[in-house]
Amino acid sequence: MKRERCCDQIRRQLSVRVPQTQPVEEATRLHLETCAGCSAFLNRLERLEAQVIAWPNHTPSASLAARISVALVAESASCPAKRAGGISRLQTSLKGLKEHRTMIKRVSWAGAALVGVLILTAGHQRGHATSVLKRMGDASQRIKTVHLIGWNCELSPDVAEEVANGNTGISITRVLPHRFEAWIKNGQWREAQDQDVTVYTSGKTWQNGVPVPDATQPPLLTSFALRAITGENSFGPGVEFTSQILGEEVLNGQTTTKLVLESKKKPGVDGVDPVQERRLFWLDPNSYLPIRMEQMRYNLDRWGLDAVVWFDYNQPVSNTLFDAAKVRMEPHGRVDYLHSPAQSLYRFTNDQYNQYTSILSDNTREQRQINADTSLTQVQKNDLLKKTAADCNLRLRNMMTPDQQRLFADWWYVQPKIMEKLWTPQQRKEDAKWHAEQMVLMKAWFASQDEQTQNRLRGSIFGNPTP
Amino acid sequence: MTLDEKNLARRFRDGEAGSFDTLYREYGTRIFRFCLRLCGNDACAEDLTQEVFLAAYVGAKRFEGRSSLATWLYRIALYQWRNMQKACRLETVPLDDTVAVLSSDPAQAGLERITLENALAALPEPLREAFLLVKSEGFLCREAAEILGIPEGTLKARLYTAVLKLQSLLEAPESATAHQQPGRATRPKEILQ
Repeated sequence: MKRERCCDQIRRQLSVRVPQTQPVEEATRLHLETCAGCSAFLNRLERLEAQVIAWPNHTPSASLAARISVALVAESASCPAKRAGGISRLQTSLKGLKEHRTMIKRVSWAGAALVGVLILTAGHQRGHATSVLKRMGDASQRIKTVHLIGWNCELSPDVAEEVANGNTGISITRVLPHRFEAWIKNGQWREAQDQDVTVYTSGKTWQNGVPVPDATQPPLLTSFALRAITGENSFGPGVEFTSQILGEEVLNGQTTTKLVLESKKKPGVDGVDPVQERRLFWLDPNSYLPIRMEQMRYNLDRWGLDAVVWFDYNQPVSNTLFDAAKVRMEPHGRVDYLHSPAQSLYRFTNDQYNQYTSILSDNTREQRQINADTSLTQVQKNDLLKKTAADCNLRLRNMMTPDQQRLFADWWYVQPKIMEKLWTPQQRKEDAKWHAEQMVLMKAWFASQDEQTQNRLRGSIFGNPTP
Repeated sequence: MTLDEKNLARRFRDGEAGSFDTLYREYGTRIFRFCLRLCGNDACAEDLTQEVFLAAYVGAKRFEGRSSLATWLYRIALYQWRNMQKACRLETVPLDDTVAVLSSDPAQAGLERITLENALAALPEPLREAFLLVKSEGFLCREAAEILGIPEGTLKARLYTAVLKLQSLLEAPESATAHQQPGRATRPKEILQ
């Protein structure tokens, strides 16, 4: 009995040692020499500790530093009391963070640019937001035509519901942003989303030339965007919101005034959690009309981008655009949209798009070569892969404008997060395979001249949207 | 606490320029690894690390310097981790992407890692935290107890129990992991934000 108690004490003492730093005491060592049970215990313990010590030294991704920086700025900006003392300290801190090049790779450079913008804007409070908002609403009354291009980035309600229900097998094509383009003139609307064209005129709606009997309202996305400009029920009837001028920002070479509206939390529909929305406007300081708008929603503990819209006003718009019976589906952008949001979302020129695909192809080829090189150890391969990725990201950065860089960083941050949540690696592999097959079908669809073949291919593509 | 640590703690508390960078540079990777071991996947670990440093930044003035910066950051990490667990609704599985690729024998290292991680995942949370702090993070029992906010004796008891449980689980890996899919580590509660 006494021996058992002694053994128990010895094993407790051994268990609480810090591996590799605290030696076995002399008394314990003497006990171990005479006790096979405790000696075996120590062997097992040392094996266990060796396994723990051998854990690989994972390092955080390069984007983490930038993410933290952005979060800090957002935190400072969201709390005015802290801002006064916080921003200057942060600016210096961020500068230091940016100097750690090893930390900064794909997202961080653009994240840092975003941080710069945020600091700049958060630090300058000018003008009166409510009067600016009113001027924007007044100016919108004088608009004759609107041409807008946007991307709907939110998860569609059916996908969101599936995620909530635990379905993880969701195709990438269902979570990419949807491009839409619209023209509005004299109460007539034409909205193209992906390849479908909706025309609204005289209280009636046609989709791809076919009347839609029950639809008596203007298309949802564009009417939402226009309501946002006019200030009419900005976040829905009765929902309170705050407004703030964030200062000036140069957008595509033009100086703009940045205005943010943020709703209070409003009740979700059908028992869904309350939602909070934020709307950013880049206003032309002369006309007070927005050039660009971003719609964001607080979800999953972060502000996520729901939609981006670019506006152009009072340009000549042909009436033939609203000739409902003549409107057919248009294939614009569909392949690009499926392949990547690059050309549509980031507004790459053709030259930029070619560079983009070339850089990504080079990167894929280099990765394959490294992985196939049997003369390299895994450690060497990992180092080379990291270097290759850094080179690739640097080349991508150099070909983009700052505005494109920011969008790119947003999307590259959001998309992996979605994918991590939704897919296992096996599902990701299957999806990639399915996606490649879809691309072949899609190209064949656009290449075919025969309507019957087109319909068959379209059915193959859209009839079975999940792998 | 070394002189450097004391100096950094003072600079950080006073909001001195550049001190946050130094803090992140010194402790970012350590905290990330600890978070990774707590939650089991990279994405969640990065989110958690971000929360830790955000909370540290916000609460810098409240850091009184009575404990070391490391102790303070680990305490925040555990606090944030518990908050995350409370908020989590769905169960997922961390994936084999993060299995030990740097080992000299990746295949074998992967198997060991999964087995050890499975065994750790099967431990009750208090035992797992105690084990990780001492055996993986190298804190003395006194420091680990301070981080967890428990008496040192309780910490030692938890650590001993954790060691016994892990030994028994690792000696019978088949039975311990029989219900799991091969190649997958599971956790009772995984974050899916």
